[in-house]
Amino acid sequence: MADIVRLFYADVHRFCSRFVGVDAAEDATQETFIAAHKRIRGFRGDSSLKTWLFGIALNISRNAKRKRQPVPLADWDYPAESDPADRLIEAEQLRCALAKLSPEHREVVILHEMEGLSYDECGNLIGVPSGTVKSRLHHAFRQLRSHLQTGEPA
Amino acid sequence: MNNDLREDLKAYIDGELEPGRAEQIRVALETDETLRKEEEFMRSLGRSFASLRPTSEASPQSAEKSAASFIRKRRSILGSPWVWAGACSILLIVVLARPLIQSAQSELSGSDSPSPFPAASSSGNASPPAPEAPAVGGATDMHESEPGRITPQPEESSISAAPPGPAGFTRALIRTGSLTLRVESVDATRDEITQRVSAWGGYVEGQTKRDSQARVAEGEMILRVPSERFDEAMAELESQGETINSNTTSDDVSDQIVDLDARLKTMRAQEEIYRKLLGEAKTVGQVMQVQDRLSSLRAEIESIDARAQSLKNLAALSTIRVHLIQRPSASEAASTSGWAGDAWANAVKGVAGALQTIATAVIFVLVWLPIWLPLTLLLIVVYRRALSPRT
Repeated sequence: MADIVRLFYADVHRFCSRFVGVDAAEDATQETFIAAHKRIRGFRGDSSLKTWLFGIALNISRNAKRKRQPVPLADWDYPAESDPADRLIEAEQLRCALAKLSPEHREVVILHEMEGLSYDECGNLIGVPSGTVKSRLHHAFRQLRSHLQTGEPA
Repeated sequence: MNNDLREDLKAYIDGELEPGRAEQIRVALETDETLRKEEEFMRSLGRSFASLRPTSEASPQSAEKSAASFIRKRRSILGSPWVWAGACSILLIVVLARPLIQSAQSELSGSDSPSPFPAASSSGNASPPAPEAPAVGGATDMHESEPGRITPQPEESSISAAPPGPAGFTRALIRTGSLTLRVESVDATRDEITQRVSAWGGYVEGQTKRDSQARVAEGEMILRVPSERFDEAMAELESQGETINSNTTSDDVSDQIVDLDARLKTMRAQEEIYRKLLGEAKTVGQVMQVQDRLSSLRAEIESIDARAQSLKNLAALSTIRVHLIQRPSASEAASTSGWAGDAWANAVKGVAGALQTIATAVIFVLVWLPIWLPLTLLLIVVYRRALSPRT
């Protein structure tokens, strides 16, 4: 288990910070690994270990969000090679657009676009068929386009 | 623009469409300007999302930091009142349980007068020694009532008859017995014994039978009967035929059981404390450490519990081994009646033995031939030369 923690700590921390913010990500990551340690015997290898950990992290992040209202993308940034002004503006625009999405749509965008999970993996993780993931992504992108074009603040 | 195609556009970009459907969209993209613009927007947006990074990512040492924080917290656990309360209660249990065990042991050894005879000392005639379980500190209870026949004395220290100790403590005795019986029919006696064992509330643990033309039929049974009916069972079994050999042993395991029970109690209290600590654990490291201790403790508890249960089971059910030898039939008896038959058999056996000895000697002589023959020839030559007159 210690090896699993060392191997996936950064991934799970990043994943949690996308949902609950960087400040609460540390606690959510700890909780994820505690829960994983308790349930590790139930892991049957149907998905990759990382996806399985993301599933636990997703549930914990959902619970954490119920307790308090974090700002998911407040601390997001673009890579250092982009222009600082542009990256700040674009990151803020994306944050605003993403914040306007419903939780279901936001989840699939984060899982697929940011974490790079396939439709099947996303579906297994959130418990819906991959067709639903496809549909949610389509609608999420339509809404994002609409929000980004209007340029309304969050 | 076809709405169906538009709905699948995102999946097309992500490569999640079937080849046929993907081909349709590719063709539509070549002709439909609006669809192409939408595709470009989606691709661009996807790249933007993919390039987003958290402003403060967890460093690779974060997991190690977590372990370090656990060590700090562990120190704080040691300072928590729960831990000290747990440690004190374990100490208290150990201190209280120890004199209890010692007093129980001394009471047992005081009331159980040691037998002057070795464990399996009583046996009847020298005929086939019955297989015997190892006896420790056993007491035999047989006496000869008539020549060639041994009957059991009711044993005072059996479980049913054992008086409880001063503290309401009941002794646990593992009692074993063995019998060799000569019977009219091995099969009939075996069936009869099986029925009786069931009636006593026991069971037949195993049985074997040897039956061939050349030999007398024999059988062996291993019976488990409730300890309180052990004496009754031995007496009834002996009435099934002519007793050739009979003995009983008993092993007092009361002190072992008391000791194991006390250790179990202490370890279960320890386990309870660890479970509380597990409930309070906040980090992965804490959970792992406590759970490791808990697992090893649980394994030890299981092992001790199994041993205690096994001893209790052995004490609850006594083991009796019965060796059955079938009496020769009337025709067999007539053909080799009495001393004449025995003399004939002995004579045949003697001749066979003598022939075997001669054969062995011949083999030795032949094998040593290369050594003794040249020596003998040399001696003969020397002797002849010595005798011949010198010229």
